[in-house]
Amino acid sequence: MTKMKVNLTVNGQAHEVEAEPRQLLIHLLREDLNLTGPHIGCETSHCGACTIEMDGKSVKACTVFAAQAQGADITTIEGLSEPGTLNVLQESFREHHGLQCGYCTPGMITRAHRLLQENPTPTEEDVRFGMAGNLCRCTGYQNIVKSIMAAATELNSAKEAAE
Amino acid sequence: MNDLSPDRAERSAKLKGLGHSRKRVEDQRFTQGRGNYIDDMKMPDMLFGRWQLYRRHENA
Repeated sequence: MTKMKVNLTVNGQAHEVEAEPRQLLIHLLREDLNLTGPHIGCETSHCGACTIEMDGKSVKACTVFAAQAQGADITTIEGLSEPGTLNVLQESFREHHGLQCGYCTPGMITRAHRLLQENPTPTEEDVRFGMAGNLCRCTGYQNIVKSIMAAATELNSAKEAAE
Repeated sequence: MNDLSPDRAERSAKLKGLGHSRKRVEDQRFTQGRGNYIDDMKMPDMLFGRWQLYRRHENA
């Protein structure tokens, strides 16, 4: 199959990748760019393990063709914090045991990151609704919700202190 | 947590490490997307394959 050129920015870095028209964005990220943070859980856009941020929106990378990412600005879990450090959300997941096996975690955190941009002061219900596209088989969601609520509180108090 | 339970930090200080949850070491890499699961590994000349195995008898 003829390959097509895809130009995209991932975590602030510009890339040009050759992709088959049928290739999914998640495979481009994981196989061509070696970004294995976003996982493949179901490959049918149910589970959200492959969640990334594309042009300011949460997107399941297994629902998007690589070619559709032409010109897109993408952030993956790898781009959310400096290597070796944890951002507020990541630290909060660690602190409140928002993960067990960790497979869904990159998707959870990437989605939660966007959710808190969309709504910096969510209620528990907002969090549950906003995270509904991400499945977790370990935690029963209680601690994930707790982690995100705690991160929101911390981010807001940091913002207040800065003002 | 009910109203009777003491402040978390206060309790931790008193217990000196006993009886309360600890942060997991592995969460550091899991939360950064560096879990390195089998599907994340890449070896030179690696092939992907899938086997479908069926039992000849149920519950055998």
